[in-house]
Amino acid sequence: MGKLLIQQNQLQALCTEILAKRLDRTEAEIIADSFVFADLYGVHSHGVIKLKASLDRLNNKLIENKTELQLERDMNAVALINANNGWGQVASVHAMDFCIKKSKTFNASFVGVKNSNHFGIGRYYTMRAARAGMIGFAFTNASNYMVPFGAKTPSIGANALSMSVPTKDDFIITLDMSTSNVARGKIAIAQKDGKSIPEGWAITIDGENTTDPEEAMTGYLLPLGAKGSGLAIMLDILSGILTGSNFGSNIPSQFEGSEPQKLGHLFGALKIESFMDMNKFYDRVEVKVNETISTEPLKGFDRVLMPGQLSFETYKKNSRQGIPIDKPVIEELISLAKSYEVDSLYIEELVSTIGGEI
Amino acid sequence: MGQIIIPEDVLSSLCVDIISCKVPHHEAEIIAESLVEANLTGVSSHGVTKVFDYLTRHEKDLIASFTDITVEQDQITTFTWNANNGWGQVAGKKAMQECIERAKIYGVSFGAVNHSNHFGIASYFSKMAAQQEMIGFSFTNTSNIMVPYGGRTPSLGTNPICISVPTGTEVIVTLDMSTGVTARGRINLAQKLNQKIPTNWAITVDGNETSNPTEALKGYILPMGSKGSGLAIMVDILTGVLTGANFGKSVPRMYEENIPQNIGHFFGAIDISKFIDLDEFYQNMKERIDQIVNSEPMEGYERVMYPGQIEYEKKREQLENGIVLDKEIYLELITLAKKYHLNVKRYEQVLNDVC
Repeated sequence: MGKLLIQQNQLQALCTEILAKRLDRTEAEIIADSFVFADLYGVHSHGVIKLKASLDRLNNKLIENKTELQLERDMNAVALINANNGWGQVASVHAMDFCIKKSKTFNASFVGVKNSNHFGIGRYYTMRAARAGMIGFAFTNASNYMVPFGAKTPSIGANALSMSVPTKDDFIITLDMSTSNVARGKIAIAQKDGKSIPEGWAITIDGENTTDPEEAMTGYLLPLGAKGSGLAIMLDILSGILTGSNFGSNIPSQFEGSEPQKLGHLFGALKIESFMDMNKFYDRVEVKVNETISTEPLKGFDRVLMPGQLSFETYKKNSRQGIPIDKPVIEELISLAKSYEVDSLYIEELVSTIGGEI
Repeated sequence: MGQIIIPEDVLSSLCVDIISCKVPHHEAEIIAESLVEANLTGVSSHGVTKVFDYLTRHEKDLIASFTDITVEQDQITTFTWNANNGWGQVAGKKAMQECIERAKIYGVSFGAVNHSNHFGIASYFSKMAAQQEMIGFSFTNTSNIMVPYGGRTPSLGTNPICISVPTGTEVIVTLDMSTGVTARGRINLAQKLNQKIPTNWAITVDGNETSNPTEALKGYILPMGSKGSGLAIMVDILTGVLTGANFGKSVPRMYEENIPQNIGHFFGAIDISKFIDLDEFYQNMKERIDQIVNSEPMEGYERVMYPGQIEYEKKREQLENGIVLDKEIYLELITLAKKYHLNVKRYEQVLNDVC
């Protein structure tokens, strides 16, 4: 499939303008930024491809058009924010920033968000903490697509965890992982390409193993073994139950569901300086990075990477030369912009700066 | 050699008697409690078999005779302690107690420990928080025996992650997982039983695939894919880099190397009641567990379980009927007790009774 090299600023401006037709500009900016950020880091499944689906949910009145945040609890180093079915990205940026602020005073802080929606990409928040000299954590639950280990019927999402650690330079060590064996997006790609999938990715709706992506998409994801299943359950407790949100099989589907998802998130920040001198920490982290990336690779591998290194390299490349985005995704964005009557100037700007097709 | 069944109180008292020959009695009690808890919950690799290993290291002056903690940082919700080469279980228990006290006031607390040693099962600490109606976290780094994903030389331990959540009943939901594709103990077992191992468990010292457990034990454990490797690196950062302990390549192997390990641990507690009313939390935990255990099992599975369920059931059963133990390990303990000139009459008597 053809990809177009899109400039970050023009992409962000167009997405913001589309969203701003329906939302407050400040909220539109955050949401657009989170989408473009995902594309910049090469995580296209959470990028601008999501814009249309998000607006569909808004049009179906499943998400509010304004994120009315309500501080339900605020006690020393912890807090709970009710997002009142507003936008996950908006609630999460506020929650993480509040967490960072609290951690500046208390050195560790956790802030929960309840009654929220899909928050996009976890590292968008944890990297904010890392930039403040902290170790950041973000946990979320998700649509009920996955079976617990050994089960035929789903009662968890491919719940995700993200953790970020700063280094001396602009690389931020970041683990951003779901707890399923593979992302649902990978199965969708196989479906599109008409390819079969390996056993172990998903089961059919009747609980049978399958290599047919079609059947897998109507069926359920398999967890990353017993450990992935255990982690998913723990993340459901931390992000869903602890915050008073939906959890497990109570969470309706993001795409097919007809009710608000009421997702929960939990954010954490640990101030590094409260444990150890910052420069000493940076020196030690550098040793950790170096001992990892200088590892001699196994047969079949080019090199050994730190968590988040590949996406950081993608980010650097994409910021320089433009973001490769599937042509149909750009076409959809443009037609979306037209139907929302966005000033055609933004479309022209985006199109005129396309850096070619790859 | 066969297995025997030993009452929990007998095994505990034998371990306390032995360990207290070398460390203060109150420390010996903590260490023995952690080891016996491992046996009770069916995690025998971290059980009383370690008494001999620990004391061997102690005899070589690789572990201190008591756990003298120095406070390096004391910062409202966080702290860093130096265990001064004392005992992992003792430093860990005190650190988790400290986290719990601070979380009661501030809602959360995290504590780092450096210059420590093997701390036994991680769930011993996280469950302490759960018993105080908190969510407990416990992490440690371990001997350098695992390769990072895609690598052929080790710079990681099978660094475990442990989280415990209370349910309002005596059940504590507990995830206690290593980040390796398998535990080294399972390779040991395969070696003992002369069985082949799957080729994705470990690599040889030269970085080749192997199904031979002996070669695997000389070589390195593989991580649980790229995600397991990423988690292991993050745990190493929290427990090693951030605490001031050894990390990665610099953590010596517990059995083969004769230098103090300078292991690091990281503990945390989140006070649930600061986020949500406990009644509501427990009601939803019950529903969460029900959703899991009421799942229809896939073909080849008998039932679907919540994290920590097997261990919980095992503990209940063994508290009632006694602990199943390799006879060899019990005899090793008695030999050790005799070496320290302890009166072992009572313990030998138990052996005669059960055999």
